[in-house]
Order: sequence, then structure tokens, then C-alpha cells
Amino acid sequence: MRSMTRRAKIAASVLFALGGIGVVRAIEHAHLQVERIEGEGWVLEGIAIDANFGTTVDAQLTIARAHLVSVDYTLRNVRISCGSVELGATLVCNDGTATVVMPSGRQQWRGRLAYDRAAQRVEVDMRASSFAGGAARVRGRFARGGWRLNGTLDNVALEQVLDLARELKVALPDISGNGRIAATFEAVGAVFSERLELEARLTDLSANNADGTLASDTLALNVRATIVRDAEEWRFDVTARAPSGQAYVEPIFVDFGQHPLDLRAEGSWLASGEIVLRHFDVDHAEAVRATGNARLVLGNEPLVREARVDVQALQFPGAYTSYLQPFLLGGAFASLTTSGRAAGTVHIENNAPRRLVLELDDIDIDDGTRMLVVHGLNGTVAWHDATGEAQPDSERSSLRWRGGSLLNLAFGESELRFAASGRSFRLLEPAQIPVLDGRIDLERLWVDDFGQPTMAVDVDASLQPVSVTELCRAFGWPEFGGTLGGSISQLRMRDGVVTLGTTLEGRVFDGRISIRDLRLEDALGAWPRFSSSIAFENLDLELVTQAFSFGRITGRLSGEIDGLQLFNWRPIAFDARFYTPPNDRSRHRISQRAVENIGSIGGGRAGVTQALSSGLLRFFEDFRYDRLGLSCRLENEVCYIDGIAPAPHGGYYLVKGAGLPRIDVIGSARQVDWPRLVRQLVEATKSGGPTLGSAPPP
Amino acid sequence: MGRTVLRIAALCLCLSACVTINVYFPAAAAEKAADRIIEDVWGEDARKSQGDKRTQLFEFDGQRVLLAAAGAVLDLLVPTANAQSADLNISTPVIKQLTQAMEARHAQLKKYYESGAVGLTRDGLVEIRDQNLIPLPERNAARKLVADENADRANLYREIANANGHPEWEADIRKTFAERWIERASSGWYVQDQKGQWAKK
Repeated sequence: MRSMTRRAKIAASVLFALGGIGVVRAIEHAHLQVERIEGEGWVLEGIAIDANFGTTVDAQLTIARAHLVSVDYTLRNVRISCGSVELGATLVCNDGTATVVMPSGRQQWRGRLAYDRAAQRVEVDMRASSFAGGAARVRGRFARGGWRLNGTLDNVALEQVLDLARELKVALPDISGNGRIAATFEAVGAVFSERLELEARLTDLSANNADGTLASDTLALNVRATIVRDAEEWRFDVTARAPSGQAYVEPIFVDFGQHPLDLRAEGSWLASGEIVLRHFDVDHAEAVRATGNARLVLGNEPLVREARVDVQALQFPGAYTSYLQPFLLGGAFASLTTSGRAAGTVHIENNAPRRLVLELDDIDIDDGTRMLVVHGLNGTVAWHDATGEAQPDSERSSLRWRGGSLLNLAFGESELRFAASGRSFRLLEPAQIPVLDGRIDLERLWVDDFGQPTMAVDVDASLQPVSVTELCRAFGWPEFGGTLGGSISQLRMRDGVVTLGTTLEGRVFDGRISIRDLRLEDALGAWPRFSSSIAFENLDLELVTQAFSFGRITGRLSGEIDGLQLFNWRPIAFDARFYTPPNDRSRHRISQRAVENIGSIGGGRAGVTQALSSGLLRFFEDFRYDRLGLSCRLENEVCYIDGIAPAPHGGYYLVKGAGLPRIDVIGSARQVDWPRLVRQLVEATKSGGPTLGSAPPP
Repeated sequence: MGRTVLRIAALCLCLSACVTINVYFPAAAAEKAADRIIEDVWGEDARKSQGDKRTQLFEFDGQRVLLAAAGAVLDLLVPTANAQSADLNISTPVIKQLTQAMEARHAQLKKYYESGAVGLTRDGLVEIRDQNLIPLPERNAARKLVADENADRANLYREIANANGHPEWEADIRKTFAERWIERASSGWYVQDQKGQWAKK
């Protein structure tokens, strides 16, 4: 802005020269040609001044090339003409027209220029009726002691302003866009200080960078700024408000129509390129309210050297929809209903957060499907980065909740005390979490490399018996009795694979169940693969068949499901066997309906039904049996079936009868289509009985 | 005598080469499998196949060409060497689930293929090529769709190789799919050429 003062002086001297010529009245026409005038930061070449002295005086100034050294830009064919020149104590150029031809088009300004010879003051009042798609007006006064410039931009097109700025080699980020700008500004310069007051209204601002990571759509932005030059620094005080429109700063999308944003920043821009934000204030309606200070360095990474942000209020659900949801998008917890508040402090050094303390105040989370529900979440989360010095106060975190539900399993009031730093998490004290009518006693919970592909998790816990009836109810299964419990020690996650080093034991149907070799691959991904082996021992078949409405069978049942593999929680392979345990002395009875259902698994329902409904058998409700059993090896959606022993004609025994009337159920189908078998088993447990057929040979 | 030695040498060559035949990547079968899956996923958006265009053997590296040449000779000598003509197994439950997920996702991805926001890459994946063509509120969802689609595609290529007992075929299957996705893409969609340059079909 200092150079403006010098430019003003030159303008004054040119006008003065004109005045000098005007004294000699006899001259009707004057022509002055100057090859080159040079000042600090600018060069003018091919200057010509023409003046006509009639009853009125008119004058024209043309400059072939005006080179602005600081921005390395050359204006060509600058033409200033005065329709009438007043020659007096003040030289006035009335009906002045200034024309500049720029690559973006011809700029024409009209107005009045005046030079007060006594005060050595230049006054300018120019308008452009067509400036960057809108209109502009500039008024200025330049004197020895200082200068003052004010103006307005009316409905100016952003696109053309950006083009103009690029022509003038103003360093702009790589953005393109359109929108409208209305602005007023006032700049005042004195010998030792300069001051700019700016008020701008940007409307319908749709802009984006080349890769689309930064974009706005019909954004409205109102900016008010005061910038003061003081010695070697520029002090600024800026307020901005975005009342409508949308913005995207990958991955955060904000709709200002729903949550208007107010910003205020006050600080200094130092000659070294450093920006000191002494104070800033952010108010994102119903989402976040924060204040803080920061030290930034532009054009030299890291941008944020130091910052402290005090979050007075993080308001849910606004904070969730604006800032958290983008990170959960498409995942299981992408559409949560949230409420509550949080507050805290974040310290940032060299672009990275160093310390964070967050106080949660009665936060509720609900995904609507009981997969994740938390009520009354309260507590403090304190975190510091791994390199930061451990501070006793920021080392301990605690979270407590009133209750909730995870994967359909209701859990009760509890509290976790833990330490979080870097990417690791450590449980500091054992915790007890009520689950259904049982309890998980958490001894150890340890996470490393959180959020990385190499994330490692260790859990040691024990499950205090949970009633199986409650579990069944939670998952919508047929209800049956029993309990499940045991040690969950050595639950590990490495490279995305979860394994359990111990065997889960349970009591169901008056027998025992053990689940071993638990393994879950891609646990956090879209396609989890689960594998395990399960063994049953001495289940009471009467309870089993009651629970699944299969048709009553009494006796005991043992079995194994080896190599069970679930892809996306659907079975794709296993090798299963169920059989009457050897030396079982319990009462062995099987009902007509159960015989039909078992028979149809072996592919011979029609025959079984026919046999049961004819002759003597139809008078018996149930029959004695010696032993029964079934094996199914699932491979590529085909169940390869076998029974307890080979039978004549290539068949196999599913039920070996005993006593009279003796009934044997012999299967014939060796391969059954698995999806069809499952459908029909489900139907069988709902209604009278299934219909089954054998699968075509693969 | 000399002829006998030659015959034995030829026989040895044949016997040792027979092993190679069995592991040779069945390009035609893979193309057929890819086409079937692409038709499932894209439905009517899959352009009609350009006939039974067999993969050019000479696109492969030198070793492949040699093996293919040896295979061609041995096809004459050993009529049972029919690894090329067998169909690939693509009906495992895993492949079915992946294909169904991709088919469901295609309904959402289609408009981005059509607008040019998302294109098909030379390595059998999809990529956002111009995010500015996606409305602001949809950008995160579109990024997620692309990430999920690529995870499923990577899973699919690996699973087809595994289901056919040749995990080492994964790269070849991916390459075959990459060619077929691009070949079967509708006109107006963006696809990458061998140098990674985008072109509109």
C-alpha cells in the first residue's frame, strides 16, 4: 500500500505538467510523448498525452505498456481520457474514462479525477458498470500524509474475480467455481500504518478443488474483517458466518442450512510467514462450540505448529451427524440416534493431536436394532500421544453407563477404568459387566495399534453362567433351558483374526456342550469367516425335540460338529455327527412324527408316511428304538448324509428299532441340497413335517 | 539307435511337460466364468459379449508363451490334456454371496459409472476418477461404495482361485476379470487403458 502513495505522487506530477501547458492559451493542441517512466515497483512505457484547448479543454493519456514489477504483470493500452478538464487551483478531469485491455476482456472505468495543487492531493471517483460480471466503484484520496480508498463490488462473479486474480498472479489454491460477491471496503494508509475494513457477502458460492476433496455448494458466506498494518505485522480481526449452503472437506460434509456456522478469529500475520491466532471462536449451531488459540505457518509444513482448542459443548445429535457419521458410514453403526453433550480440550502440535480430555455428559446411543444401545454414558476420556510425557491426571479415564444392548444382548450398569495413549488401551482395574442374568468378569483388556490393520487385542475374562433361555430369547431362537459359562481367557486378535485359546463350556438340555478352536477372520470387515468345533455330550433328546418342535424323542444324544465354517455367519462347511451315546441306559422312545421327520432327511418320507399310516403301526403313538444317529458332511452346499450303520441295498440306518412293533428307518439319499434341507427343517419344526428330496448329483 | 534316443528324449520332454499342462491357467474358462459373474452383477448393463474371443496367448510373458506352445503341441500328442476346456467352479456359497452383494451394490454404483464419476481400472477394481461429479451430500456414500466394491472384488478373485484349488491363479483371474469388466462395460462408462489413462467407452 505504500507504493500507492508513490503512484499518487507520479499521477499528481503528470497532471501538474498538463496544467503547466494549459497556461499558454495560444496553444490549441499539445502533444507530449514520454518513452519511459520508472518508479519503485512499476515501469510505464510509450506514454502519450494529448490535450485540446478550445472553449473547453479535453485531454487523453495513453500508456502502451504498464509493467507492475511486484506481480510481474503488464497492462497494455491503458487509455485515460478526460471529456472536460477544469484548469484552476484544482485540476479536474471530468467525464474521465480509463480503459485497460486485459486477457479476460476490456475494463472500462468512468468517473472523475482531481488534483488539488495547493494541498498536493489527488482524488479519484471511478465506476465500472461492467466489472467481472457485475459493477464496481472505487473512491480514493491520496495526499502527502496518507491515503484513503473505499469502494463497493456489486454482484460480481467469483469466477471472473478468480480469473482476474490469476492474471495478476495472485497465489490462489487450485480451486474453480462460481458464485456472486457483493462487498464494501475501506482502506486507509498513513505513513506508519495501513488499515483495511472489509465487508463482503458471498452468495451461491459453488467451488471445488481439482480432486474434489474440498467443495462447496450454493454456500453463503458473510465476512467482516479489519486488517491493520502495524510495524512488521498485520493484525486482523475477522468474523465470518455461513448461514446457508453446503460444504465438503473430505470426509466431513456440513449442511449450513441445518447448522449455521459462526467463526471469529483475531491475531497477527508476522513478516516471517507465521500466523498467530491469539483467539478464535467457533459456533457451529447445535453441533459444537469451541474457542482456542493457535500458531500456524503458511506454505511450510507442518501448518499447525501449536494449537489449543477448548470445546465448550459438543452437542448431540448435531455433532454426530456433522463430524462422526462420515467416519462410520456404511458400517454397522452408521445411523445412530444420539443425544447428550460432551466438552473437553485438545492440544495439537505439528499437525498432530498430543493430548485430549473429553468429559461425556449423559450420552445416549441407539442404532434402532439393539445391536448397539448405550444409555447414560458418562465419564472422562483422557488421552495423550505415545511420545508425550505421561501426566498423572491425563492417564486415567473412566466410562460408566446405566445399561444398553450389544448384539442383542442386554448389559447392565457398569464402569470401565482405563488408560489410553497413542494407539493403545489398557484396562486398569477388573470390571464386572452384567449380561442378561449372568455377568462378564473382565480381568484384562488390552489393545495395541488401534485402528490400524495390525491392531492387536487381548481379552481375559470369565463368563458367569448366563441362562440359555435368556440367550435364546435375545436371539429369537426357540427357548430351551441350560446355562453357558466359562473362562474366556486368551481371546486374542492379531492381523484381523480373533482366536480363543480356551474352550467354552456350557450346560444345555441337561447335557454338556463345549466349543473349541474359535476363530474369526476379518472380524471387523464386511465378510467375517468364523470357524470352530463343537461337541455335545448326553443331551436329553426329549428337551431338544420339545424345544425345536421336531416330534418327541426320548433318550440321550451326543455328537460333534467338526470343522464348522461360517462365511458371513452362514455355514459353508462342517462335518457333523449326532448319535445315541454307547451304553446309554435311558428310555428310548420315538414318536410317529419324529420318525417321519428323520425319515425324510434320509430321502424316504413318502415311504415312511405310508408305512406308518398302514397296518398295525398306525395304532402306536411311539416306538422303542435301540439307537439312532445321523451324520452330515457339508461341502459346497451339498450335505453328504450317512446314518449309524450300513443297511441292505446301499442304504443306511437312521433309527434302529427295538422290541415290537419294531421300526427301522433306513435312509437312501446320500446327497441332499443344503439350502433346501435347511428350509425344510425350519418348516418341519413349525408344522407337521417336512418334505424332502435328494439333490441332483453335483 | 539315435532315433530311439530322440524318441526317449521327446517322451521325457512330454512327460515332464504334462505336469505343466495341468497347472496351466485356463484362460478361456476364466473368461467364461468372468462373463457369467459380470452378467449376474451388472444384469442388463453388461454389454453383449463380443463372441467367444479367446485370450491372446502372446499377451503373456515369454515363459507363458513357451508353456502355451508346449501345450499346443501336447494337445495333439495327449488328447486327454483338457485342462483348458473345463469350466471353473464359481458356484460356491462364498462366491454366490459376494456376487449377490455386488449385484445389490450395482444399483447404487450405476449412476456414478454413467456420470463418469467412477470408472473401471485396469487391475479389475473401480475408482473415483472425478469426485466433483458427485453431489456433495453423496460423496462419502460414494467413497464407501467404491471401497466396499473393491473389497468384494478382491475377495471374489481370491475365492475363485481357492474354490478351484489353485490359489496361485488369483493374479491371472484378476487380470481376466479386469479385461472382461472393461470389455463388457456399457458405452459412456470410463475405463482405464493399459497405461492407466482414462477413456470413455
